[in-house]
Amino acid sequence: MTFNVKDFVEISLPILAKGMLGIFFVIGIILLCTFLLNAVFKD
Amino acid sequence: MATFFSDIFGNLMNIDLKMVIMWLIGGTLVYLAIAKEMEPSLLLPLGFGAILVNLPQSGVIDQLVGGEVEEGAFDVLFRAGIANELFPLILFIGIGAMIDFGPLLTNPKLMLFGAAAQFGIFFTLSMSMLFGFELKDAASIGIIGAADGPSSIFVSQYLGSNYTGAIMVAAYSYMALVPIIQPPVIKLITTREERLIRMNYEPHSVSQKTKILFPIVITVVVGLVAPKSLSLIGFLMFGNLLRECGVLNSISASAQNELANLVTIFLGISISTRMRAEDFLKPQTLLIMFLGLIAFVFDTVGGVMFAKVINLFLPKDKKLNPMIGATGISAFPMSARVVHKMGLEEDPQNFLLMQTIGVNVSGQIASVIAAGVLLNLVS
Repeated sequence: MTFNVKDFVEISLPILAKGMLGIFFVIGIILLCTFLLNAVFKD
Repeated sequence: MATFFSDIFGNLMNIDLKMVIMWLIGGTLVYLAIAKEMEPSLLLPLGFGAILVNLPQSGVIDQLVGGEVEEGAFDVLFRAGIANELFPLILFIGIGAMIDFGPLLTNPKLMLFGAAAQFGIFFTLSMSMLFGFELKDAASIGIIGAADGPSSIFVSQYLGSNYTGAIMVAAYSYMALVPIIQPPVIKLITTREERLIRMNYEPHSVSQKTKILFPIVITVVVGLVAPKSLSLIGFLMFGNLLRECGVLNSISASAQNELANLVTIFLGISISTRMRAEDFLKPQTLLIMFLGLIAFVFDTVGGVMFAKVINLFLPKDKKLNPMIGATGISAFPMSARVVHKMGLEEDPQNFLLMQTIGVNVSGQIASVIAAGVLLNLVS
């Protein structure tokens, strides 16, 4: 087994950071839309 | 006489040790499915299929006969429904029809925990690259942390991973093991005082219009922001629209039952074509099983730690029970029940079920979005 530290640092860590930011960004937009739907279409 | 025996029993001479090991692995999956009820709908066809594809000269997979390829039924199914990612997408219609987004729409803020609990996906991707896997394989291994079988199949096929069989076994096994994996991790990273925190549940009704518009709006928004998620989220939300529209009840019921059951059968036996001894019996398979566990552990850690960070900014009487963060994975409703039970063990009057169900439902959306985000970043 070989440890690929270079790819870990240069490729996967940026993907980790961008991935988590991306998910929070998309979920954040969905959250805003949901608040809006709840506010507009009250029972 | 000798010719007669070689005609009848000649194939026995083609058995090798690797095949026997795969029969044992297949048998173990069938045993776990039946005796332990571990994800039986997937592990049973997968285990039985693993035995079938590893019989010598197996007729269910493509064989080279006289220089020509003789198609096997399992490989035909694989090409028809897995290689083009169709089966997991169709299964998402059934899953969407099963999901009630009501608890989430009642308290939308819970969606943030679903996002946090996807941490295991990206952490495992990083660990897989550290262990020397190529990016496409590392991403496919990471998606085990989605705790969502169809997403795992979709991503690994989309990226052309060489380890789909092992990834499926890991994903479905650990989904079944959530009640064993999550409690010790949660206990390790929370104090008893934190586990005793009670949360008020303020129920309020959600209008039918909101329930109908939610899947449509989410599909359009996600499609615009993360287009690679669109087929996943689109099929999921189409199923949910069938459920909520109120005029297609029998179709919704069919999607939840007959459609989901049929596709699950085909999915399991098709995936077993990737459990041929030469593909499966590699040291990487063991490593993938280990990394799959890491994915589930760090999903749990991500969700719980996010709740703890949020608590730093909340007044004392509004603190969250950080255990609910662990339920932001897609394993529904198992994870919600596990954490609810943990809350009751600490304090028999601490009812967390409504919050955990809401977070768990958000995990189902977030895992699909995570798969799309991952594809956007990797492909």
